[in-house]
Amino acid sequence: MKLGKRKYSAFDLVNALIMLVLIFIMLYPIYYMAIVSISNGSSVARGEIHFYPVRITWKAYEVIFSDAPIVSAYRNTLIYTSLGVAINLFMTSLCAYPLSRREFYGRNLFSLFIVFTMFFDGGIIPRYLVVNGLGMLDTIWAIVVPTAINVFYMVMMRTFFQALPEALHESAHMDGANDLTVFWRVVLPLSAPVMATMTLFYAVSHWNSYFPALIYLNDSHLYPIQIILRNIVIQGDVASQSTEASGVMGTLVVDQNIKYAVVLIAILPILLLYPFLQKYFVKGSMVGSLKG
Amino acid sequence: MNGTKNASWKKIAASTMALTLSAAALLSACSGNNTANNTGNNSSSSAPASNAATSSASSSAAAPAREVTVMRSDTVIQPWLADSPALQEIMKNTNTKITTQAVPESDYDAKKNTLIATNNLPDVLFVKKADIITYANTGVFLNLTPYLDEYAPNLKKRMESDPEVNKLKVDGDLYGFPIMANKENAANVGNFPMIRTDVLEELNLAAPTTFDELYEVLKAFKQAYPDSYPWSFRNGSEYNLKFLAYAFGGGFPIYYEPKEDKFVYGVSSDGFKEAVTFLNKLYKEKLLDPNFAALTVQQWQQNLSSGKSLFFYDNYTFATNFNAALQETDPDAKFDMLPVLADANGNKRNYMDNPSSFNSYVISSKVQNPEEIIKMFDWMYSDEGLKSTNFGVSGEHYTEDNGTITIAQSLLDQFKDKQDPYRAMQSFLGTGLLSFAVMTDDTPMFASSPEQLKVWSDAVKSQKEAGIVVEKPLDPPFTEEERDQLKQLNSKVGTLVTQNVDKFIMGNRPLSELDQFAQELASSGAADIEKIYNDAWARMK
Repeated sequence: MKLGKRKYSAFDLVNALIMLVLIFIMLYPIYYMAIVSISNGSSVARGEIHFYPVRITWKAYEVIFSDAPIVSAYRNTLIYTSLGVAINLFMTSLCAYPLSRREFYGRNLFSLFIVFTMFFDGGIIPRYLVVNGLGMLDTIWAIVVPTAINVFYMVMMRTFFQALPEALHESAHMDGANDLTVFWRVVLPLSAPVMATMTLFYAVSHWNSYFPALIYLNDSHLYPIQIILRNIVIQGDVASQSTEASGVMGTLVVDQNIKYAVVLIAILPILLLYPFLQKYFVKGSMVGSLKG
Repeated sequence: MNGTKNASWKKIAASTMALTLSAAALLSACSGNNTANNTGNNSSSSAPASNAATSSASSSAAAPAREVTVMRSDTVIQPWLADSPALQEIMKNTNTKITTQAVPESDYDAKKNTLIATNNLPDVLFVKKADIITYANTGVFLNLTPYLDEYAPNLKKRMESDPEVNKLKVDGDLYGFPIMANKENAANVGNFPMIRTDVLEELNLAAPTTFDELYEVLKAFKQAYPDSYPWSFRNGSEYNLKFLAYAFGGGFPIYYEPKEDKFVYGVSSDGFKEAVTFLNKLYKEKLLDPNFAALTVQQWQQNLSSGKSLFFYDNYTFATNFNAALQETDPDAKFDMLPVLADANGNKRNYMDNPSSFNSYVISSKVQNPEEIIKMFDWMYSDEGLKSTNFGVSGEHYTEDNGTITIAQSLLDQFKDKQDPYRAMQSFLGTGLLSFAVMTDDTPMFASSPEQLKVWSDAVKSQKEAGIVVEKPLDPPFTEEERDQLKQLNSKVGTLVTQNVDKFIMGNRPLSELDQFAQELASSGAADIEKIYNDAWARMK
């Protein structure tokens, strides 16, 4: 292909146009939230915001960052995500590696049991009883432990491990390494792509999760940001549905710009994670799935 | 996460492992002494209510405080905080220490249902009207009836003053402490006609007093402002017809008709037909927003805040927000309340919300010595308890002079710069409907809200005293079987209603078929709904 000298056909033009429209459709909602969050509240109420912010004010962000629950919830989310991902990677790789070894006794039976849970699930109530029985209610462990292994991700990781050349294991064993050493010194260092992919997947799921926290935590100091976010975003809608639902004087409406500011703040960190992990993400998931 | 670029993956992996290992060690330490960890939910469940002997200890002055865990839904606008002044007052007066469990309102039902299903209730739980009926028969809530005479004289007195409370009973038994309003100082909220009085003046029009005059006024608005759609809706036509049909002398869908003392499925009523005909007329002449069936709350607010719409018939408290937004560009712009409009026969009537929310606090049936908790709630129903749970600490947060409550100016000043001064103050004090009160009083709201609200609330009150405005009655209590039937019937009839009401208003189905429509509904289940309601109502009377 001769770079730079390519002729553009009508198809390319139309294609590019369609892509531009698509990009606009994808980006505009995020952009809209950003401009609403820094616009004057009354202008937002009058519906004056379309393509640029009106009477710029940072008040929404001031309100948010002076709100103690939001700040502490943000910190909690960071803790849950980092600790959760660490536990996820550790447990998932420990589970995936033996299952990837052909000589592992009863491999298919174990795989069957594990994959079974992908399709059949006890539901909230048994899970709640288990977490309660383990004494994890109202602790951080209720958030990070029950989700330690996602079976689908575990299978992806197993497939990746399986794709590593068998000769590596043999030569390592010949040099006197045991299974743990092989895993630790040979397999893991070669698994950066899949680890990065898993980090991203798990981090996103931890970051976005609110339901376990809602069900298992009673102490509101432990809430993650998503719970607060949901409450803020849904609040206005629910409360203003009908007057009899609230029976409350005064309208319980959260200002639109505060809502959007919180949404932005809640998605920003995970949004920023993508570009850094993306190259591994593409490589890793492709390697894993193609050879599976 | 810790993405330092030059660190090798090995290092990262190693540190991850180390972190996880230490975490795992911590975890095992935690689960080792899980009994100590597991305070909130299980403390009450482990021991049966056998050792009631210890209850006598509560009479001695040095008795340790009774600890009670209370779970309720929590709003963003008024977070429910631990150790607030109101909770300290409860501690001081009833020797009960409240542990707060504030669950976000958006997902409160999910949590509540899980706790009920797994039988892990906190000592006290906030529930909606329907929950009591749904769960009373399962025995998870304590039946309060046997305790009322001995331990709850104040509650009994309050219940006598508001007989609607009896509709909360299940088979004659009370399962929850109903949240009621002190109606002398209650905000009177409801859906009322609100109009831009500045536009009325500008066009030299008299304020409309009947729906026919309203039509003329809206028409004049449209003439003067051809780009506007004078009347704007939210939530679609069915929501609006609930109160409009009543104001026209009928009702919708099933409602209590005071003239006949029975429940009527209102689609056959003349009032409903007139209301639909009226809306159809407005729609045809573009006096009603042509997009009325699909307007979101947000669009509706935009219409009214921007002057695109000049009239609404809805919760009047929205008007303070609209006025604030309007007055930034036009200082004279103002929505104001119209007196209730008369129908074609010259009769006036309108619903308002019952200031009592009638949600309840229930006690878990596993609780030990429930009479201690019942006594605490009963204190909250007393005059003293009402003040503590609505105004805070006497002398510090409010003063009382001859029965008139004055909220301390220093307290009001403390919160006046907040986005919502009233709720910020209530959150700090831990008072009022959205915190922990069973007898609500809205005095603090009037003290810290725009004066206009008080004026409108008083206007509603005086119309209520004149018999024009009535509190919307609660449904009578149904049996489980009736509820199942109603669910089916309502979805069947409701679908028909939804398919047709907008057609009538938009003129896709001729208005002459309204009678036929009423017949269709009656034969597809509306008549049965009516019967179930009236049977239940007859049982109550």
